[in-house]
Amino acid sequence: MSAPVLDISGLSLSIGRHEILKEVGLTVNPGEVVGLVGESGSGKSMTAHAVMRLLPHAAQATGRIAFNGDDLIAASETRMCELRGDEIGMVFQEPMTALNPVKTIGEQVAEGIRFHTGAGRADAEKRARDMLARVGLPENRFPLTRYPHELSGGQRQRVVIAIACALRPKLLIADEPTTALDVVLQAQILDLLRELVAEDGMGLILISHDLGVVADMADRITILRHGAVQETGETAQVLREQKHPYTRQLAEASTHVPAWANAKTPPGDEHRLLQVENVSRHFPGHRTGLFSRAEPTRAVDGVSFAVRSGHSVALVGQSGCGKSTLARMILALDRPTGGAIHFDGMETSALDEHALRTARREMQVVFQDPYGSFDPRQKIGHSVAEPLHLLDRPLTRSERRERIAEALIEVGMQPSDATKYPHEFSGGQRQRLAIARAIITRPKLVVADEPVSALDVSIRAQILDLFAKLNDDLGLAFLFITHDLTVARAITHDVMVMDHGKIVETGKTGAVLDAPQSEVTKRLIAAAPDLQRAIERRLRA
Amino acid sequence: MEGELVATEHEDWRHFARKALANRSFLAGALITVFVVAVALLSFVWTPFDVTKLIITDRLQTPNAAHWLGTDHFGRDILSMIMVGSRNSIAVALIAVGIGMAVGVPLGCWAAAKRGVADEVLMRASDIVFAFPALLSAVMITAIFGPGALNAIIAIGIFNIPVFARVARGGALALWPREFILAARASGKKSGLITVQHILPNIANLLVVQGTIQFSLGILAEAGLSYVGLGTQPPAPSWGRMLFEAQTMMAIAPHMAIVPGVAIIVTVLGLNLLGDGLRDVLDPRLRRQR
Repeated sequence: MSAPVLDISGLSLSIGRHEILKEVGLTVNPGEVVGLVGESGSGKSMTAHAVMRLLPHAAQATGRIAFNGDDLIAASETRMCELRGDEIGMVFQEPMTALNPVKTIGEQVAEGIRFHTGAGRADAEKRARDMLARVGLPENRFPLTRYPHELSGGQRQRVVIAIACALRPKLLIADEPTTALDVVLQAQILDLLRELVAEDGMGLILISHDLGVVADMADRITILRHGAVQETGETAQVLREQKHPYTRQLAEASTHVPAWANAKTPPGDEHRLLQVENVSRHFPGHRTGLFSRAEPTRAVDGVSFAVRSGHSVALVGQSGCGKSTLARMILALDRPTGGAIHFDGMETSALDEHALRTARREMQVVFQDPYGSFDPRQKIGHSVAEPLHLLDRPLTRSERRERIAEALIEVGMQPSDATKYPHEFSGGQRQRLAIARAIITRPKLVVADEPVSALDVSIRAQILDLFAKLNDDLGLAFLFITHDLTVARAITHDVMVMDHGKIVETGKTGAVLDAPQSEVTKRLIAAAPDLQRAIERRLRA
Repeated sequence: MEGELVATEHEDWRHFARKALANRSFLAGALITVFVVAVALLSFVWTPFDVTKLIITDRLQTPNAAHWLGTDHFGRDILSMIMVGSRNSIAVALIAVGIGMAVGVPLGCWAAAKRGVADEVLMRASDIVFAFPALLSAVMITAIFGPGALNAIIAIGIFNIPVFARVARGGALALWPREFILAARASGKKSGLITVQHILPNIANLLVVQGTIQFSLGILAEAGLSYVGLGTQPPAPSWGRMLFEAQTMMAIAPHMAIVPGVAIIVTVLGLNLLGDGLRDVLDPRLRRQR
């Protein structure tokens, strides 16, 4: 075997008195994919930043990072500037912020080529064109003069990869490259990375919190926790044997199915709690002239379905398929441009805000981002009690306090948490609090918009357990909006698949996911990372 | 991500105080502002001399032991005049900022909550007000309605309205699509209640910073209006008119111009430093980016 392209040994890192990394070791051979797995705060991004020497000012690093014989810890800043972008490339999680919004994609790819090779403008542009074509953005459809905002999320990530790989680096570091993308785009980007590694023989460090993704991609895997390596080895072996307790814990959490008494037989009568009839939401097209507009965007286009009381229903689809717009209309935060929505016998799509109060009391919402769902300037108690505003009779102070305490205990928090501010809680705790807010009025329906996709796997397993428990205890009906099929499988009775504003397939969750009928569903299922399947495939290979 | 490494978004007073004390422009600005306000308050109970008393024999004295900052051409004590004059400047600027906030902030919040036609009309109206140089229009208003401190306040206040409307609207617009606002809407709260409970506390920072800046502009405007004789009327002393009166005496008594000039500069500088410092300490954009 040839010499490793990257050899990290005994890397420790501290910022002030905080120890971020403890004696981390990692090697990457040419043409090899190494998966770096861990939950938030495990130090996986810091390891990547240490290799790039893009650390915060106060950081103190010790140990050895050997890159092709160079010790990067001792290297001068000038030397690092030569290496970054030329020999070591990096792909970031958020493609929108990784690109410069005021420069064209051609300029951004060519920039690094010109800087590192001293190539002329025409030459650099030619190479940029070739590179963009290689990542799937051929010039006839994506001219170099496009700006980042004119591209979709997946296309932007392709540009970021083009920039990172333009000079055929020997090492590519991809830090959660697909976390901001839906499953179908994720599969495409992972395929692209795999091809580039195979063709150019570069080493790839793939940083991810998703074992399924890493199991599929990586030859070897290193598991980090609290800044220390827990286990390292061949992917198939590590994941099959699961010798280390933390590895087992991670694997179990990522395939977690909550204990759910109502899983087979939904509680409640067969009464149609929510009925959506031929609902459309068209947004006016952008202006093309003084009096002319482009075709309207049909975000939701003639959708009909029903949610029965006590049932848990998943609405799955790629990002941009209109599922969030539909959710907003169901919650009466937006009005349909066509069709009608009935909830609990009321036509909510036609009521005014005052008449909606009764309906609002019976349906609440949990959002994706646990950080954005709370007013940073209000105590948790205030935020959680907000829906009590909908009660006909204002509560007394002690009644109010009791209701808050009850809701907090229901979601596994303490009544004393009511006097704290949102920043004092972790992401998972905030999501629990958001659920407490949603159930405080004892609603019949909770709409959850990607409620676990921003959470670590172990936290996510706990939140899924909580949803199962609430369905068991309170008979709540759920509408889960998600692009993640494992969530749908774990916690719903029925599933609806949405594509380009239309519902293309509905049925029992198990039946639809095991024997998909429509192309869209098949594509979603094929793209979804699946830990079990990935391990089996590795073992066969 | 590595949550414990970066400053939290929490802002209890201790956190605020720590950041504020580390900020040099905030400290300097706050000290100067507190000093100016203290002098103004002191002038209510004590001044070295009576500012309305003319002692012609003492006129045009340069700074000395009895008159620390000298006397003017009527023999009035300049230090006493500066002290009483600061009262005027602060009162005019403060009330003008108050008018701007009291009218502008609700208008801006309302425009952000309603959007559509209301928003468009309001913003175009404020564009029109912005199109006129503020001081020139204030001169016009006071010229029409007659000179005096009250009209000066109203004139300056009117030009503060669109400033605050814009700041409030901008801050509110950024908040409306946030999920905690959606959650409040899903709780059936009307836009007015949401504005009071969620929007205002979250844009208070912006308003305080803008208020400080408008305050210093108000002091400058008052001085300008008094200088051309449209602001505070005699015998009440005012910094602007002291400058005007000193103009003819420049050659023989330069201190008559220098003292009120320095007073204006120091006050405005102090307020601007305070505003800059507050912005650094409070501005959410400079805080942790999640």
